[in-house]
Amino acid sequence: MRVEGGADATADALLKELRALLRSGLPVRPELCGLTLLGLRGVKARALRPGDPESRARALDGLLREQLDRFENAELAPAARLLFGAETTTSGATLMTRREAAAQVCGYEKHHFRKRIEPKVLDLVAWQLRRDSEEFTTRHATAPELHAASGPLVLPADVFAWEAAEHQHAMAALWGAVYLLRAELLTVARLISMEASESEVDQAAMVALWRHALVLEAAARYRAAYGAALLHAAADLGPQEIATYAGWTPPLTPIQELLLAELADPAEGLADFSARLGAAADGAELAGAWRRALSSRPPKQQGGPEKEGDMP
Amino acid sequence: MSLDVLLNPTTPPRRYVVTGGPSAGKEAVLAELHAHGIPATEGEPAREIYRKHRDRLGRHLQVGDRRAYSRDVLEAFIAEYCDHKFGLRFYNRGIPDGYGWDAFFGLGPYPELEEAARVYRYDAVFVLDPLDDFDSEDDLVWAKEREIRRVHELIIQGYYDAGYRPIFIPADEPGRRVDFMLAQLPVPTT
Repeated sequence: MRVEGGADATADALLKELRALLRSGLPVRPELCGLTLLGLRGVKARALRPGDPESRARALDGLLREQLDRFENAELAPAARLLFGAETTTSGATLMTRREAAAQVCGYEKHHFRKRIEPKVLDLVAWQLRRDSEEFTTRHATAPELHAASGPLVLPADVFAWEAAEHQHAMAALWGAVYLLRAELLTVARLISMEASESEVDQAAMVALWRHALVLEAAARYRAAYGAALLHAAADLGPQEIATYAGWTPPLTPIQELLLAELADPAEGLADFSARLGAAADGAELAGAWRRALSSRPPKQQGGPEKEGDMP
Repeated sequence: MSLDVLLNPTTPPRRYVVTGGPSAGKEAVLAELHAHGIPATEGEPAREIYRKHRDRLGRHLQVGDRRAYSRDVLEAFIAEYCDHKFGLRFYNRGIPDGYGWDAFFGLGPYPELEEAARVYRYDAVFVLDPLDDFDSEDDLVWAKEREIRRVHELIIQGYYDAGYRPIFIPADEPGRRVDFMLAQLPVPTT
């Protein structure tokens, strides 16, 4: 059974589009670019304006030139560059001229080159493009992967490194807040399941509200630093979406969310938050509504809390 | 070709960029150039500008601050470019690095950067391949998230966007990398 039919279809489409692009060669002309090529994640991520097909075509041009400069078959590398017109000697030339130059440089007869060698070159270019896309993008819908370190964290003295580290800080802070909220939501659910006292559930719900406010604050900080969409995410994904990954929480109005984000101070604790919320206009009402919504169990079809799974 | 010929200060200006993402070994290569008495950027002007912006703001740069920072860095790059009048010089990053910087933050290029990239041209661009394997680097948590790779590739893309064909310098000892770079330089014309 083939389990990667979709990937195969994409690979086939990519190869077909590369063949079409080869007819005119480099520089890439936007009108000759297929959707699979322009849709490569590595292309979109490099495009200065990812929504603009011309910008993507420009990014594809740069990416192709780089892949040809890094062609993984040393013997065929000069031929590949000549074939695509990446060298000045064949840039803008007809496919026949480029093919002849490519065949000559690697010592093949031109018909043999066209039938046997050229497909190999195209296969390898397509493979390099696919590999680049796989390596380039991240799955930002999942938390940053952690793993054991073999030594201390050392950053090079480089502004790009500093900014990359700042970005990772913002991501780690956001995900950290989300996990802490998740923990409190699980506590509330457990207490309800165990039929704990109302005051105990209310207290846990209040802790969850504080954690939720800290999530909103972390998301707001990310937006202020980097904008509404996560940097370099494979899809348009905002910090607000990540904030919802903790689990179901009672719906809040935008004004309520803004208030909570303003009241949450990562340097302070629950008592400070509770005091500030109590002093804010409509704060007590918000807290009460949150507690009631979180500690009740409305039917799922009405958008109620998820069921965490029955214990055996 | 001897180093003396390359360093002949009476020749027209020849400008070469050394660039790459973090962990590419740029500092070591520039130190090696200095050790050979080859004119090259001292330090990295962008770092000082970055520190000044942070000090002035009292916090990390935000969306609204990045363009001002980019413009200040561009100004410094142009000044360094124009100050060089004769002979050979290597630059620690070049004007088109600005494309990579902006792209990292999802910003499009701004007119001054595009004009500067068109007007102030370097003779060649050397991209240092990363010293660390992106996948095996385990003491940088953000390497796993591929931030380094993204930065590196966006810098390269910036140079292609600006019409350059970078020369890739494989990971190696700084001395051998410098030898490789010097071997790519043409004989200067007087």
